[in-house]
Amino acid sequence: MKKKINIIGILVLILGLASCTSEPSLQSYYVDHQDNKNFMVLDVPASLIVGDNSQLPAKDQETLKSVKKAVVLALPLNGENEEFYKEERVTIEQILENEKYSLLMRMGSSKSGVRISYLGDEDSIDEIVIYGNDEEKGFAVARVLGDDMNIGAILKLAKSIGNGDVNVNVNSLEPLMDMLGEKNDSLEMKINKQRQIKNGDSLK
Amino acid sequence: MKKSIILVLAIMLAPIFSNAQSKFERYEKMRDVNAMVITSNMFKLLAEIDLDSDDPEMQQYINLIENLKDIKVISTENTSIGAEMKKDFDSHINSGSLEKLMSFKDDNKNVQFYSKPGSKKNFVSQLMMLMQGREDGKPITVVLSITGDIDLKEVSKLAKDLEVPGAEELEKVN
Repeated sequence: MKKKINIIGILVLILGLASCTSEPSLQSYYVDHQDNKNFMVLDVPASLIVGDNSQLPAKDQETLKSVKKAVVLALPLNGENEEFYKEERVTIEQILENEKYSLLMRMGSSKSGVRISYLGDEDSIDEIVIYGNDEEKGFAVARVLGDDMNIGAILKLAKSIGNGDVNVNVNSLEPLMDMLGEKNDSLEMKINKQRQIKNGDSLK
Repeated sequence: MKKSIILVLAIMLAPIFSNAQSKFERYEKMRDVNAMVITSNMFKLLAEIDLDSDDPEMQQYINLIENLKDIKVISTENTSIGAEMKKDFDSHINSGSLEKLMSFKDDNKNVQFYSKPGSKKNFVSQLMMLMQGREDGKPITVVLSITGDIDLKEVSKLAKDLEVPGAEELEKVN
């Protein structure tokens, strides 16, 4: 019974989303593809990436807190899904061409490249979208979600991460780094590990 | 009445301007071409980072960044695409009323800078560079375009922060 309600709820939600915007969004792309076996989904809460930073100035801690989580959707090439990859790549790049995703920068070639854009106002950003593509490995889209993220402050923080001022759990970043590079089996293991950690996190 | 004429003119002229843009945009889709685009969105955000800097030199650099519109760089090691780029560059220079700023040859690189006059002396609204030659033993062609309100005295500082082929040539602009 409960399941039925859930399904109806999701259907209503999808219909609602579909009716208010006719153009495809990343959100709907995620919803449509997260169960597809060609895709990997990684849900990374910010708390997992960022460790204990109580020694940082209060202002920086606040900035860190404005980032809630990162959701990564990846399509790694496995030797059999090249056609599928080509089609999906066109779709996702079309979505990102939409002007509501303000482009910050892009670089690379048609073989491999990176594109960084954001959603929201320039001084209160709701979502940072990082898209990476490599014709030999596949593509991945990361949505960094938060409330009123001040990207200037985040970039500044990124600098201090580089300086080693911010405590980052490097291990938790590994699966992200490996996402496109590693063999699928080891990746799945890591994702399972991620899920366990995530579940543990939500139990708290 | 006057307004509508201006509007019609603007609509008629728009394709001409956008045409000049797409001349180089088509390269971005090509294989063998590396492209980098940084937009004004990025510059606005970057300028925010060190806004409270007391260092006057830093402040000048921030001013430069804040007033940039975009930076585009395309480069290729493919000589036939490179030749096409040069052709498009030349015709863009001729049609877009850009003036030669400087040109030089060093090692085995041929570098030309062109600019469009800007708001005041020593400022330009567009800076374009064509570099042809060899880098690390490979032929290379680079087209770089910077638009905005650019202080020529400051632009050389960009060279350090831009990690693209040809960026180091910016250091020689003064």
